[in-house]
Amino acid sequence: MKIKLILLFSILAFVLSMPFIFNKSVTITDPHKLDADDNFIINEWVEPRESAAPDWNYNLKPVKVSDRVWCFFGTLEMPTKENAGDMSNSCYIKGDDSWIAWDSGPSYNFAKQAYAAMSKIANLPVKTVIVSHEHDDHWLGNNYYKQVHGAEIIGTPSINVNYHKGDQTRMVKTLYQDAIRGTELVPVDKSFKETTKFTVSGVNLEYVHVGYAHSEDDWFLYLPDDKVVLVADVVMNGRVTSNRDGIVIGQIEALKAIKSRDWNHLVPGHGFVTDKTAADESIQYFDLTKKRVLQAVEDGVKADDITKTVTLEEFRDKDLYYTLSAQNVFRAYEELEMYSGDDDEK
Amino acid sequence: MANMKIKAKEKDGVVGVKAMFTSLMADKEEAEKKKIASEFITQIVAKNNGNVVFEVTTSGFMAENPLFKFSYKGKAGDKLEITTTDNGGKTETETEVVK
Repeated sequence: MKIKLILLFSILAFVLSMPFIFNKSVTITDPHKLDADDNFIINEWVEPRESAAPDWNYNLKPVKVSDRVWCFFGTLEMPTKENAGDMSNSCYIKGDDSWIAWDSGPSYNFAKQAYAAMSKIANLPVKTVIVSHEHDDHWLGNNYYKQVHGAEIIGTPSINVNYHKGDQTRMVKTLYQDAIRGTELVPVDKSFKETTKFTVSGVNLEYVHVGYAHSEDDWFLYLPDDKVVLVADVVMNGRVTSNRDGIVIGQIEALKAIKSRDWNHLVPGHGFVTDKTAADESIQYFDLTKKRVLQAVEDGVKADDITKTVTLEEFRDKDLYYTLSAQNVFRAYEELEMYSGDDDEK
Repeated sequence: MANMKIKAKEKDGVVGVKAMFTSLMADKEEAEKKKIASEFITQIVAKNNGNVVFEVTTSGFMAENPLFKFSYKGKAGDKLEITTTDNGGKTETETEVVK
């Protein structure tokens, strides 16, 4: 009897679980949600939201870095609804008759409020926006400067290749409507192929190409007369970097290019330290990552075990360590597994 | 640009080899979808001092830029030669001295 009951319950449990085990009920109604290999696109379209709430108040306060450079410093976090994308640094450079914006932040509203704060310092228009790289926490405010000030946008050509009007970037999907409303993806007006020196509104600038480092195509801005360098995400301090789109070798080369300039102040893409030591943390992070991952490869450590072997303990107390460091190490392993010293010469 | 990278290292009489090949590994079906030319490696042969130590037939089912690992009995200083043949019959050969 007991055996019969167990058998009966087993059959019943199996029958009840059938819909879950053999679930063939997925109907593809939107073929555009499939990629070229017929897999579902994980980051699906988010329906646009409407909100009657007032615009998000970023409560921005510019910090004076040098005689003519002011910056807005974001939190050491990932973009969230709570920080409204204010987690990267952007700067204003005061020219003779206009402001030059270095990275425009995560949204139209951010750029609008940044300008409102800066116009109290000097009531000048923004005629030029210079963008460091294609990650959307650094340039989604471009359309404010374009539409309101008629600014020229200088930046990496990869923005025009990888982003198009109407695309939903990470920031567009993440932020509340009252923060992201008004934001549109606008193309870059002018790009360069290599490091270029030019003067805007009486300010001498060197727009330095460092190539594939933190992202597909990174640039930093050097102000030789002010001895200030605005480097964006090639340098971060106080938090662990995100190397999800970058390469360790490229980062090390970019940091060498930054160190080769004569500067007193360095503004990182994320982080608050701007003195002579500002780049040290990033230099240490990438040097240690390269050295330890290469040693692990030499010792025969397999990909599955690399994040247990290379833990970068020196950075455990830094923000975002638990979120980002393991993925950085895993990516570094993929990059460096077949690395040989000759690769540096290419 | 070389189409492969080879690392070969001997330890306790066994040579461990890692080799990465640059290829889209796109078979006919994938090539049609992506509107590119079909391109994949069909055969890889590794010879140590002229003797075949590893041979494999492959097709477009493999990932782009495939990475192979294999080992065989050998010693430091041996000459390892790897030859790939693609679906168009084109061959590429690289050699590496075992460290």
